[in-house]
Amino acid sequence: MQHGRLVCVGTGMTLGAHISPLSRRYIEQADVVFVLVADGISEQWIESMNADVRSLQPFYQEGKSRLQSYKEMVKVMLAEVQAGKNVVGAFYGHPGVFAWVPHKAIAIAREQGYQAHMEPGISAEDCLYADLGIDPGTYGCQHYEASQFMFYQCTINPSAYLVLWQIGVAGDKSLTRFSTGISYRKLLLEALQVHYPLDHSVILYEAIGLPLQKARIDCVLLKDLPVSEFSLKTTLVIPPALSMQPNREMLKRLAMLNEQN
Amino acid sequence: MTSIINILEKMGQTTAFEKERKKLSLDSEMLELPLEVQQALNHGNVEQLNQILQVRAQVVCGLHPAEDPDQEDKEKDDEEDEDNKHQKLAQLKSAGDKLRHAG
Repeated sequence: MQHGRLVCVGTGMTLGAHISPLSRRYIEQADVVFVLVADGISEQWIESMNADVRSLQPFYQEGKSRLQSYKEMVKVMLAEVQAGKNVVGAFYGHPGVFAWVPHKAIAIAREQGYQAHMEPGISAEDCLYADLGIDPGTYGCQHYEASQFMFYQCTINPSAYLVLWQIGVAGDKSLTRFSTGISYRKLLLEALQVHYPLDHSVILYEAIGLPLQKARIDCVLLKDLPVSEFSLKTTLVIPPALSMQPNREMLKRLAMLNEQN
Repeated sequence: MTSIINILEKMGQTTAFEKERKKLSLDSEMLELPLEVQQALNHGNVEQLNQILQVRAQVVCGLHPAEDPDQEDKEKDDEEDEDNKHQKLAQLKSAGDKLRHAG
């Protein structure tokens, strides 16, 4: 096994509230920490835990492909691992949920013979369930990155919850924008209205980042989606529009099985 | 300014029960901070705190591409392989033609 190690940890969503004791210890003990969190104050909070904390924010630039930024983030972290250092990547939320960079960095580090693993964190999805009082086990729950939902023919079950992430940049094929406008959302609405009525109530959600904030929970009608306000942190939650339909054929066969046993 | 971060961290670890019992603005640590900081904390004014702490205000937080880059790279490689194959076949065909003409 090579010298040098990579651990990607989650800092949780809310400053001070969500980070696990183990993730914090990794940050404190690392030779170098790369940080990517959702606001500048949280970044400074991570900086207070270690003398060598380097922000990944400068890799983002409007007009530059985010994919290029992601690849550069992976490269810069791996360079320190290859230099034999104990490297920590501290990512907001959960480092493995809707986060390509930590997964990729860990995979490459392992391929190159370095120790690498992930420590989970409290994700936006976790906060969403708590703040909205949703249990994904009640009706089922589908999650898509919003652009992915637009680019591909996804099989949607309107009896389950549908959660679309990164809605603020929905439809951006170039990956160079920090927001997309009304015309993009009109297309998203077209894709959604195949499955949901226009007067269906949906929720715009943003988890708490700083402990002095409140979660954003705005109920709007689906038809008002194009003119609603979005940021990079906004998530669209669509509750079920249909009741669950019994699979009568399967129920009949199961009943027969039960009779036999 | 570290004390502002410390206070925010403590706020993050304060239970709703504690908040009910006493107001955070009465916290002795907070009273030691400049008035503008206390006001920003009490009113949840993030923009003002960003200015006081001199942190970056514009932060990007998306980390997930809509399309799998590894799949895209693979498709690109496959396309290049296919192009190379066609090129080699064309070169072989041209060499064969030349030989036939020479013969």
